[in-house]
Amino acid sequence: MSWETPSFVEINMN
Amino acid sequence: MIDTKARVRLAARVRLRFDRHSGKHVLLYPERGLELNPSGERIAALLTELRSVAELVELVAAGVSDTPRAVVERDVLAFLRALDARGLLEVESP
Repeated sequence: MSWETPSFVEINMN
Repeated sequence: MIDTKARVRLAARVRLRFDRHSGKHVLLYPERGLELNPSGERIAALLTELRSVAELVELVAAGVSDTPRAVVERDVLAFLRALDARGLLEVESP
């Protein structure tokens, strides 16, 4: 697979 | 500080789930969540059981063909440290 810098977006589940 | 000798896994209160609305995987924990990109999802999937960071890097790097292993290791460590800063990992240091 191709690589991209791992990242996340924080979400407010409520 | 997490290094390659540490053993890590998701903390007990954290769940990896697929969100059908966004089509992305999400790490859920009380009141909040983290929507992951594909590389983050790959790492998170390997965090469901306790393993060393070195092993985790090897497993991730084995599936990557277009990036030097050293870059993958650097990115994985940075990602794990970001999760640890939010209290989302169990970390066993040697």
